[in-house]
Amino acid sequence: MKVTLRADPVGSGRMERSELDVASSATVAAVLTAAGLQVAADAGGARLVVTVNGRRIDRSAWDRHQLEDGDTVAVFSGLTGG
Amino acid sequence: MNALRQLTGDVLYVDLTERRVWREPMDGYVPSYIGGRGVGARLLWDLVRADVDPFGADNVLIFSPGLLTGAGVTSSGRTTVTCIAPTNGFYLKTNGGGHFGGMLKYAGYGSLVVLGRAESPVYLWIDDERVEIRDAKELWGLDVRATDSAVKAAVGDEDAVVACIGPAGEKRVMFASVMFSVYNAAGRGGAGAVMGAKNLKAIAVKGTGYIRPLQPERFHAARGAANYGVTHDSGYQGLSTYGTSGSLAGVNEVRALASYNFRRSHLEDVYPITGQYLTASGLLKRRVACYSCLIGCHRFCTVDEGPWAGTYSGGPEYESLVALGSGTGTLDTAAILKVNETADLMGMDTISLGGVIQWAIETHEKGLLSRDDMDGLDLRWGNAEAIVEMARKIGVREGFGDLLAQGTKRASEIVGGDSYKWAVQAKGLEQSRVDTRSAKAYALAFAVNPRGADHLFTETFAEFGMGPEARGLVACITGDERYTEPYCSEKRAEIVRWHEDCYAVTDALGLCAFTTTALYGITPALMAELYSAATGIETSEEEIMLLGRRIMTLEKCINVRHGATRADDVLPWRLMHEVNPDRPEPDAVNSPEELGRMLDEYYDLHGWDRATSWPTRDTLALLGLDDVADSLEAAGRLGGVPQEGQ
Repeated sequence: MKVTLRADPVGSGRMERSELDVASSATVAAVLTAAGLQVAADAGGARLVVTVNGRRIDRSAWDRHQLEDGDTVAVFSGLTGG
Repeated sequence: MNALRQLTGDVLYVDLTERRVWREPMDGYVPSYIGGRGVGARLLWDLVRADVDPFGADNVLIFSPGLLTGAGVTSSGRTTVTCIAPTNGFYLKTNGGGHFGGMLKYAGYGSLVVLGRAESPVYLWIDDERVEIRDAKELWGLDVRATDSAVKAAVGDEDAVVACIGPAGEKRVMFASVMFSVYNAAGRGGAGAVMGAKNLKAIAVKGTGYIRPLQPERFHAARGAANYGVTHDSGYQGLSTYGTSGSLAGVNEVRALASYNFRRSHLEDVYPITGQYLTASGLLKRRVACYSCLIGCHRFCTVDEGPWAGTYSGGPEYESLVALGSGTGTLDTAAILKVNETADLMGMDTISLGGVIQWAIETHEKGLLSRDDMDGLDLRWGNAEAIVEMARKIGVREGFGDLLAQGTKRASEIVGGDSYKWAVQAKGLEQSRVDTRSAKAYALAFAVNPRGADHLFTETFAEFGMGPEARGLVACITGDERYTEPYCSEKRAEIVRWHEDCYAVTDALGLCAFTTTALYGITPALMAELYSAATGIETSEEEIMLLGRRIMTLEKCINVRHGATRADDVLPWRLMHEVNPDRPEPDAVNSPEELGRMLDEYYDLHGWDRATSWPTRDTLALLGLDDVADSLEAAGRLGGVPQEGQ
């Protein structure tokens, strides 16, 4: 199945978009690994945020949240402001 | 003078009608209202009547730096401006940074209360104990930058700090700001228009005193803890480096970026309006810090080339970039900076300015306004040139700008048809640029905000869970980190009430809300310690949060006295009836049913009457507001008392 990845793990403000072919029912963690972002996720500290179709997925659920065809996964550094 | 009075400063009264000046002690307010916003709210309750005319001589305009302003705590330079709002006749507090508050404290004043109305334009010159009401006919009509320079020249002191209005305030644009040091705005709700109605063009202040905490060594330690807490929060580096707009791309990803007049909440690419782009493009020339601030989130940008070359201004902040940028359909950063500069020079709130322009664009698109109606301007999504010109016309109320200067609510009432459906305002205030259909604590907070739909009464950024401190806070408030979920409507009342209490204390102390509810380095416990050490009044975390609740409850009571009911606690029509188009879930809306349920929970939590939203006597007594309860009861507006017909 295909998922869209939008990634900015370092907080540059620019989301890099790519399309990924992943196994059916792949998890968020699997996509991060496939995109080479797991290292960033592990090392990038606690402010790394992952959303699926806009909804934040808690870090504890990354290895069990299964994606669906057409999902958009965003990975970014959660900066603050207001 | 006793030590507490030296710490707090006095209340300085200036009656423009009588041209009379006097001072009274303020220290008596501190045990119940802390300072800053708390004292401003109490003074407003005491000084105005329910039938006050916001533009009349009977309205008051109160400038209140916080209790800690001037004492060297990080990010403690905030000043609250309080009055009855022209937009809705309700309570208004609006808050600005810069250096005005610190200087007012050094001059010996913890609050400045402006009464009456001058016959002709004047400005105030506060030089320590010497206070003069001076003629300002020569200043009338000048923009904010020119006013600042002219006032400093007139008083002969470049170190004086100036608060002033621009042409928008003079002409009573409903969202005119009070501007501090040119680029720091007390922007929301139209306090600048109230200042203009008083014929008060500017206030210059110079102080040479100092602030001495009652327990200096303990205070020094608490101040160090505050500095450490803020600079070691995991969000500090990002906020300091990129400013408020560093978060913009993330808000876009959670589908909360209010774009195209809230018809979109997510765009494919928003990089040109991010703080990161401002830095990388060279538009950002320097970071700017308010008085005594270690964060330095404020910006200063210039445009050096292209059609908008020569533009320079403070900011722009997240809200300005969204309101004037993605909100109007333009990602032309230089043009956005030009509109932002216009807003600063005219003295206008960028959120409301962007909101009313977006409403006009959509109204034109839907055929209720013709191009002729709009003075021939080709006002459409993304036409930056027309948007720049529209901003100028609003600031001076020229032509079509005169309609938009009345704000979105009144403009939509005048134009009529269905245009109220896309007038994104509540209580007459244009909504802040967060799509509350993707942030349910924000939704509740915006609905119950006494001044209208915005985030500067209760900043519930924690619900997005962008950092570990935010997630920990939500877990602490609700008992479970899983409620760090902005799409969830459960436990929102608890989250909102905690933030209300915290935000009120933050404002009363004069701290920037970024230190307590965006970063979390200054906790309620630390605020209690700072307060205790500064005043010598031993106060626990629980007690200081209760002081916060007293302040915000009094503010609610001001609105109740001025006619507010549950029916006023709503969100803009669009957000309550149209599903967020960039989210797949069918419930991505602030439906009346969902909001109603959250309101019930919120009123119950506060001990307010569900049917009317009015606080009950028991609740007010618990908060030491018995006199307020007496007053509301006499007016027939006390919660829990059966009303006629019930």
